Amino acid sequence: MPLKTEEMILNVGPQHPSTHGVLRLEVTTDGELVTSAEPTIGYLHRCFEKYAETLTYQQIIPYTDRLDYLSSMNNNFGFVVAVEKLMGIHVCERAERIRVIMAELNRIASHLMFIGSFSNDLGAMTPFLWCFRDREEILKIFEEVSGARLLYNYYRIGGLAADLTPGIEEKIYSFLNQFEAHMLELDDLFTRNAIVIARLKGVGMIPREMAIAYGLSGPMLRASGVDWDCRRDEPYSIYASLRFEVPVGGEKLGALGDCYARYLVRRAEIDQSVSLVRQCLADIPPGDVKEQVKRNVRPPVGEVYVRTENPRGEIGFYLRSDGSTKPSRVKVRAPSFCNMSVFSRISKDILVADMIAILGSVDIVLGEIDR
Amino acid sequence: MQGMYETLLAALGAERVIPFSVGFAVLVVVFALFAAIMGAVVALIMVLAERKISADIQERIGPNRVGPMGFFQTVADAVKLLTKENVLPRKADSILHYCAPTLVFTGALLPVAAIAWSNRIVAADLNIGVLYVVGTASFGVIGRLMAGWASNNKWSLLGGMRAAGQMISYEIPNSIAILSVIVLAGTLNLQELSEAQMGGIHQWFVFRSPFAFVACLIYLVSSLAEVNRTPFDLPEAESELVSGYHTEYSGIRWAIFMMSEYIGMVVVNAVAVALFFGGWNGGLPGEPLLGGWIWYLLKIAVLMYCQVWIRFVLPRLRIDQLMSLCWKNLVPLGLLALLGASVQALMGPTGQRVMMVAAWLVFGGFVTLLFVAVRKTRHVPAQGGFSG
Amino acid sequence: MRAFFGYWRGIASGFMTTLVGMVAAIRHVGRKEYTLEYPERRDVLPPRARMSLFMNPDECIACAQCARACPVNCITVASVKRPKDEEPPLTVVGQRKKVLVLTEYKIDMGRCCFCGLCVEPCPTHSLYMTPYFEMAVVQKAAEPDEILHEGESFAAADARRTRSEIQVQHPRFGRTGLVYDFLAITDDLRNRGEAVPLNPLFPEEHAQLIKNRVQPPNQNTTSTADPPGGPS
Repeated sequence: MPLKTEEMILNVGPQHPSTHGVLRLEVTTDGELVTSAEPTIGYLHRCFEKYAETLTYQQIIPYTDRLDYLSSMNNNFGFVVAVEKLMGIHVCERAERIRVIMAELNRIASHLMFIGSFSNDLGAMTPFLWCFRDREEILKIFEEVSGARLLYNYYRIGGLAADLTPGIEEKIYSFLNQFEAHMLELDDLFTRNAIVIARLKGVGMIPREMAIAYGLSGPMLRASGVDWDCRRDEPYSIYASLRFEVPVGGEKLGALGDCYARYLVRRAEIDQSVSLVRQCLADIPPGDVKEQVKRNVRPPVGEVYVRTENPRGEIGFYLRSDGSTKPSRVKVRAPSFCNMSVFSRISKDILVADMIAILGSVDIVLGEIDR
Repeated sequence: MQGMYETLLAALGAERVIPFSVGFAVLVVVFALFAAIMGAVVALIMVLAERKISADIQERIGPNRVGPMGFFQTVADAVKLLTKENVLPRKADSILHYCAPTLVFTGALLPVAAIAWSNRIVAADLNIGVLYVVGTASFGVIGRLMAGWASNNKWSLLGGMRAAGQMISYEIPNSIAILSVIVLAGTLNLQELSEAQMGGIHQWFVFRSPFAFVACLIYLVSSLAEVNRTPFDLPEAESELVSGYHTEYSGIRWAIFMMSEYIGMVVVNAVAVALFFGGWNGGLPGEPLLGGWIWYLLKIAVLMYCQVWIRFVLPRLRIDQLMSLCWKNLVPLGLLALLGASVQALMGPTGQRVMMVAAWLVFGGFVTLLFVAVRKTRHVPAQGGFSG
Repeated sequence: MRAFFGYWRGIASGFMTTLVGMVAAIRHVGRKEYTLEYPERRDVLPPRARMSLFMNPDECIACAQCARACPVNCITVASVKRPKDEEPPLTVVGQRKKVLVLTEYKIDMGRCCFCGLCVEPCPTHSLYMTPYFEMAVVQKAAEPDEILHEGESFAAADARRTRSEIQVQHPRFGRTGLVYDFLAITDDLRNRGEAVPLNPLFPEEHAQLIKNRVQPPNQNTTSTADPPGGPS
């Protein structure tokens, strides 16, 4: 007579011990094994796209900050590039360089946050604090340049809100010099740790075809072996003239398609962003970043879709203008939304601890999933 | 203990006044209370020590508001826990729920009786001391299972079962490592084990035999698993989801679980020191200072520091990796160490000296690896500003 | 055979990992802590820091560019035309003629998102962001009729509810409501003999505006008490 066993439905509720945001996972487990994990989203929906139809283009910029609140500069960047493409505005070189510096610094900060919360999920509590100390330095730099620590509202259509402050370049350099040593310490503690590798290798395999089919982007896509980066393959701003490598999963990286590959890709991207910031800082031409800034933006009738590289993937802004100062439709293609869609597919027949590791490696921000 | 009692009576000059059984019973009760209070004090110190040590590693300041250097932080925590309501789930088995913390605490405290703190202070000088310690520590297993079951929470049940499985599995390499030293020492008595290591630091078992060195490492790892500390704390710090078997406990009952974890740490460290690191001996030949309890406590403190240190370095092992580490790695290594130690026990004095040299070589290898690790982790910040 | 070596290599790598990790962690023990012991120590905020807003009515020309720029519609500006025979005074910054008389200037700090879009268009630098951010205060809970009723739309609740006159204690502006009424606030400052806060972006320019006033106190207050760990 077969024993009666029950499957247990567990709610990994909207409030998480780890800092992923308000995501609900309905997990069905058979003892230790997870049989299905369905995410439920919408707890942070704030009607951004609808509300943006009542705002002028410049007023939308603070709202784009709040989409992926851990990488506000990149969201600003994407939106501003979209409007400039719609209007055919050419931005001066100085503003472009500073934009790239800020975007890459924000990428570093976002990836530091990822490493911190990911290691916390795995049980190692120290990298969290170490990463946050470095992130704090970046936030101080941002506070000096833009005025805020997290939601910067720094980019404007046609340029920037304000130029760099005097002395900030030395501060950025001294931060970068210290930072590289700190990252090597983190590598000693976490990246090459045998337990970390045992926990992450082979977990949450996403093969290349699945990654493309589910519309993944960013580090998740690259970790599965697909060599695609919007900054290099559909360059915007001055990325075409900058030298950087794109870390891709495979032989060279040491892992392919699993959680460890995703971690290594983001870790390598930090190094690449440091090099990008150094390149841009090395020669910033003089100029006026506020010269081309248009406050009352009235784009011609038309539509545009622009995709830029967010730390989480490819963020796409679709704008449709009817010739007035307010857009008639704004749509955001959020990378975390598409990345999350693969989660229930790869969470079958795994242990609960693995599911937590996979969720951490997807690196979602609910602000952009729900908008 | 009887010897202590007679010495005490003689000192007080009250041999004839108090009947032996009454006096002895009172002494036993006093000692037991003393052990329990010391347990609470240890937990008090350890909670603060853990927070301060973790703050040091993480470049923070730990608690520093409640008292100088945060000294009374745990007192504040204890007061909070005492005044908290214990919320019992409705369908939970209240008798088992009530008894479980008691069992776990008993399992943590009972081994304290057999430990020899100095060459005169020992509560029960048992000839089977080590066996008694290992045996009574198993009370914790049934207690945790009870806690998991009685909470009427399937997740707690799973946590409890995992804890039980982990603790039972790791008792094997634990015991094998202990046996490796026992065959060299020839006695299970903890007092005699320390006495066998008198005469200087080179007489400590860890330096007398390479197999004892290996057994020491195995013992330290498996004792971490016995007390559910990181990297083996999946049953309890299931902070991914819920707190494992002590989810449904709050207030003083949860504090009892915490206390028994720390007391367990002290017990396994005490056994480790007694077996491998010389017991209550100082490093110098001859009688240790004041009988040696200061040295004993110092060595235990060093081991506790290392255990807290490891907690903030390593991430958690998954349950199947934990089990495979035990059965596939520690048990075979332990058996090899036991085999080697047994062979060594049959050797004559020259053989013993050869083995001691081998042990020193192994220790030298360990120190070399330490230096290699120190070199590898040295990273100097870059200099200069406008470099491209 | 490879499995045999792999087994020993696994054990060795586990051991070395622990050792290297422990050494890497212990290196941090002697270093200076990164903690800022608030509130005994405070960071000095940079000039561009976007904290609470301040508006100096002496310089305002009531152009309402700020209200138009605000993405959350939290600024209310009302003005009347100056009588024709009166000569309009000039502002110090930009030498603009104050043709309109400002009658009401309110910012709803409950709605403000601190984006700073209002500060940019101001032609006379009369609206600016100050570095005061310690605006939290303990107060009683919302009144029952301020809360959304069942089936009610947000717009209806908004219309029904008076923008709450909750009293808060601003570190610089004194007692004010959640809606900052800057005419009342500056009157209050004047009665108490305190100078208005300086504009951190143009401190010299604003120093000229303050005539016959008490020397303004430090923008970022630091207490003289030491944190519990002793003087650092």
